[in-house]
Parts: sequence; structure tokens; C-alpha cells
Amino acid sequence: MSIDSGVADTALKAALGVGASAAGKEFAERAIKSIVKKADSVEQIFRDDFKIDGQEMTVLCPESIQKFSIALTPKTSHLLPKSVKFSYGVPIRIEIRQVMGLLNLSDAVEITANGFKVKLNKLNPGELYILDVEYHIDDHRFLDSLVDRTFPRDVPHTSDESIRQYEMSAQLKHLSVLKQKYYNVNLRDVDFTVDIAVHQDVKTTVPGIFRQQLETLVEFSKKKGRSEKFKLMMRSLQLQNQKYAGKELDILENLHELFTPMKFKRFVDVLKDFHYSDCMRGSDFYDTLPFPTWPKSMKIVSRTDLNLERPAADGVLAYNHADFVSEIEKVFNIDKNSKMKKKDSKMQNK
Amino acid sequence: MILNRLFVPSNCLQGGELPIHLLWSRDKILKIHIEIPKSFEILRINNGEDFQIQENCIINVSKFEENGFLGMILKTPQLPQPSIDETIIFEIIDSNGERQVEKRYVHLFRPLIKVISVPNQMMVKKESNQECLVNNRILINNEGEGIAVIGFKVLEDSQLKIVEPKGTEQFAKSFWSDWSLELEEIKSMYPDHATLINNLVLLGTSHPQLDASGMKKVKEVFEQLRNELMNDLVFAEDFIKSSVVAYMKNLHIITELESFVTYLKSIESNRIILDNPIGVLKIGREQKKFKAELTTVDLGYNSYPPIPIELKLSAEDDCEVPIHKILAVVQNNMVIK
Repeated sequence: MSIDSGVADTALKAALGVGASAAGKEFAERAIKSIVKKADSVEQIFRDDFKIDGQEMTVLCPESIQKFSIALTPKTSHLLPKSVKFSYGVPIRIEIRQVMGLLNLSDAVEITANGFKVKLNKLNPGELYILDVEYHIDDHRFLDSLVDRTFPRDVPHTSDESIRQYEMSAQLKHLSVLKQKYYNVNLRDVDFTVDIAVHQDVKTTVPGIFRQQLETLVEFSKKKGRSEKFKLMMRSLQLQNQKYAGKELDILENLHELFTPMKFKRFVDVLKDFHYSDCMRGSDFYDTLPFPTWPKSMKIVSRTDLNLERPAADGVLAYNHADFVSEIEKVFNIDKNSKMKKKDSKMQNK
Repeated sequence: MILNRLFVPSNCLQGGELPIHLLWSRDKILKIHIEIPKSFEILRINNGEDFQIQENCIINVSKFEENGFLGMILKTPQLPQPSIDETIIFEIIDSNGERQVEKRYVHLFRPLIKVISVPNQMMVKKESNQECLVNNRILINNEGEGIAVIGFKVLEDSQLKIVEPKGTEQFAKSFWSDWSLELEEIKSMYPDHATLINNLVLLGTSHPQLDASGMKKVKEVFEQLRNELMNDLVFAEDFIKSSVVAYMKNLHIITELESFVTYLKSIESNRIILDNPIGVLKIGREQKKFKAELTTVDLGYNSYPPIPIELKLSAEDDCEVPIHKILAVVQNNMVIK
């Protein structure tokens, strides 16, 4: 495209998909509207009996929950039972706390068949309370309509680096949609996943002799003719005197453990605007080649908050693959010192 | 300094998306001028209300939906060079005439598979320990910095075809059959995800080729899978459990040992992963032609021009040669595998 200015700019804007961008904003507005509708209804219903001192909407992204918090002060006292009813959907959770003393007044709220109610006779006029109401967000595309998350698919692999760094960033697509009449919408713990390649580290560290042993055992377990089986048995006997004989399954079990979240997270650091949340085996297409058992990548989940005050976040995921390789070497009892001595004597012989 | 933060990634896989964002105090009124390489494409500008683009590479923004933030997503090109540094220049001017100029360098990289040599003929010997020994292997190297997933697309007129060894084929069929059943139950529990599940099963049972059209389908399904797993953790847990159940059911067919061996076989040295490493060529005494294309895909689902491979193979005795045995990776003039 070769564009100058004026009319051409307009053409380029169209080509850029400004039309698409407008559609994207519309979609984001609809997504936000669907969650603030309930909050706005709560505010309207409560306005008669309460002075509204503040409102906040937070989207708890991992759980797909919208949490609406409203600071309110009852206008009058009620001796006889009286409730304010909200009948526009049953919340997942509802709580009311007295700010002074942070007392949770569980008997002042009740979930009903089609919503909830707040019992006014349980509250004191002039006292400040915070009401928290949580609803589930059903639209799975909600977050994608609001946030641009660009995942680093790969990083340059240079052999001399012990730490590989993956850069992460998340930014709001349409900032203005988060701005509501009396409050702003906050997105908490927006998730960001990075697949870090681990296959090369495993492959280069597994000793050749162990691999040979496994291959022999695997071949032996298959249906073969007598003479073939005999040859395999002889080979297996030769390998019996080797280091890993008889320990194959134990070794594989120990290797498996390295890929569990508890162990693997030790090799990962998340820095700057993001924080570490979870890790699991990779699920990309090459991870299933040919069986989804041993992972070629590990998926690291990090999280960050986005709101009007912080519309974009960036961070770094540092993977210490040198440490991971060391752990694999421990599984195979590979002595680092003897490795270094062998390397040194090779250099000397050169 | 006018800006509080300027983020530009220092590297990007060629063909991938590059996110940029600028943050500044809301009390500052700014004009922002950005020069990007001509080969980059502007996918989205976030929070820019009034912007102009000149010559496809100069972006001027002077009005914002909400002051304090400008974001954009650019698309990087796939280039002839496997690695290159490109420059993005930012000029920010505030209402007092104060100026800040920033240059950021982005390292664009990708894999580059080179076939160093293809022998005319290949002879396979079976050693006394039953191991297949192949002389004159196809020598390849990855001269780029990115990971390559390679595979063989066998041509119609090839006399030799790649087949699955018997046990594995049985496992794969049985695994997918059992997992499809588990996934039917998941579908009924999570009807919102039915389309994804149907697409995944279709993909798993059809094993698409690693060419542009095959990868397009793979990319669509796995990006959908990624999004839906991320956005619905309850579904994710049940989904993952179902694959473990299917795997465990079929463990008698393929042992843990074999799966690890297969895993190792699929990883070549030098940032190369081999698609379908357990595929075999059934070779006999009679020399037969193997005609295929070596396909390459990177981790961003970008595919690269296939490389034609043609050679003749024979063996001293009938044998099945795993496909990974006919390849050798070379680095610094040394065979490293």
C-alpha cells in the first residue's frame, strides 16, 4: 500500500479496518453492557433507601466473575422487618460488611429464588456498609473483546544463554468502554500464557546409553521371531551391566515429576507487571506428535491487572533452562565434574 | 522524559504480531509520530481517536479516546533473511514543545531449514543387535534461530510410502477412539464448546499435512483450543482429565518406555522437531524410489516452501526403517545426531 494524505488516509483507515475497529468497540461495549446492566439495576433499586457513597466493578478473570461493590449508608431505621429486593438474577455470592470494624453481617442479606434481598432492619442508619455482589460471566469471549494479548510463540535460541526470556504484554483495546457513569470497570488477574520449549533440553541431556536400553526393551516387548528375540536378549544382557539397567521406569517416573507444576515452577521467574500463576503441560499441535504424553513445551500462566489507570502491562518470563538441564542430569546421576574433566582433556588433546 | 513507559518487544518470530504501547501522565497533551518499517502491517491502533497514516509507515496520532495511552498491534513480515534487525522510531511532542525521540530495535527471526545433501542411494543394514544402520543419510540443518517442525509429504509417484509401525497405529486409533467417546460426554456437559471438540477430533483422526492449508486448519483449531481452555478453567480441567483417561486405557498397547523413546525420536538437534517420527519406510532388497517434499512449519504456524527430496533405498534384508533414521542434523560441518 502506498498512501499519502487526505482522501488516501481515509481509504487507508478503511483498509486498516477502522470499520472493523468500530465493530470491535461495539462488541466490547455490548460485552461490558451485559455485565454492568445488573450493577446499574442494583444501584437504581437501592437509591431510595440508601445514600450511595461509591461503586466499583471488578472482573475476576480466572473465575469469570463480575464483582460489584457498592458503599451505602441506610437513610432511615426500621424496627419492623423490611427488605430491599433485587430480582434480576441469582448471584454466586453476596456479602455486606460494616466498614467500622469490618464486620460481616451474614444475616442482613439473603439469596432468594430469583435474586437477593437486603434486610434493612438489620442495618443502622448513618452507618457505612459495603455490599459485594458476585455474578458469573457467561460470555467466554468477554475478555478477548476487551484485551489484546499477544503471545510470544518462540524466542531466538542461542546456545550460550542459560536463561531464555519471553516478553509478555497485554493492552486494552477500547479504554473508554471501561468508564461507566459512577464507576470504572477493573480487570483483575488477566491471564497470559506462554509456551516454553523444553524438548531440546531433555533430548540433549538424556544419555545415549539409556536411550539404547529403552529401545532394546521396547523391541523385546513386541512380537518377534525367536532368532530376533535371542539377538535382542543378548543385547539386553550386554546393557544389563550398564548404569541404568533395571531402573528404567524409576528414571522415567522421576523425569515425569520434573514436568509437574510444583517442580517446574522452580525454573521459571515472572517479572515486572505480571505475576506467576500456574504451569501445565503444553497443548500446542507439536506437543501431540505423535502422543500427548511427554511435553515438548510447558505452558506458563501469568496474570496482571488492567484498568483505566493502567491500560497496558508488560513483563518478562525468564526460563532457566540451565537449571532444568541440571535437574535432568541429576535424574541420570550425571556427574558434572567428570563431564568437565572429559571436556578439558578433549580440549588439551586438540 | 515525557513518556512513563514505552514497550516494544526486542524480538519477534517473523510473520507474528508485534504489540507496542506508550503510557504517559493524563495531564500531558501529546502528539505522537511513529515510523515503522515499510514491510510491517498495521493491524490495530488501540485508543487512538484521530490518526493519520502516511506512506504506510508513518503514523501520526494527536487525539486519544482516553488520554495517557496509545497501543498498537503490528504484523511482521516473513522475510528472505532468517534474521534481521528492524527499527521503529518514536517522536513525542508535548504542548510545551518538549520533544522526546526514541529508537527501538526489533530482532525478527525464523527457522531456516537447509538440505545440505540428499544421497542418490541409501543402503540399510541391520546390525546383530537389530539396530538399523543407514549409510548416506539426508543431511539437514536449521540455520535460523527459530524452532522448525519438519515432516515428509510423500508424493503420489513415490514407490515407498511412510506407514505407521503396527503397534503404534493401533494405539493411535484406539486412543482417538476412546478419547472421542470421553469427549462426547464433555460435549454434553459443555455444549458451548461442542464445535471446538468436533474440530479437534476431526484433526486428530485425519492427521493433516504440514503444508499451508493443513497448518491453517491446525492453527485455527489450536488457537480456539487455547482461548477456550484459558477462558473456562472448569472445562479445561475436565478436558485434560478426559485425555489422561483415554491414554491410560490404551497404556497396554504402548508402554511408558516406548512413549518416551518416541518422544526422544521426535526431537532432532538444533531446534528441529520431527512430525511423525515413528513413521517407517518398509524397505527390501529391491531398490525403490522415495519421492517426497520436506515440509517446514514454525511455532507461529507459518509454513515455508517445501524442499523436494528424491532418493532410492534398499536393504540387505526386509526391514522397517524409522523415518528419523534417514535424517542427520549437521552443525558447524559436524553431524550432531
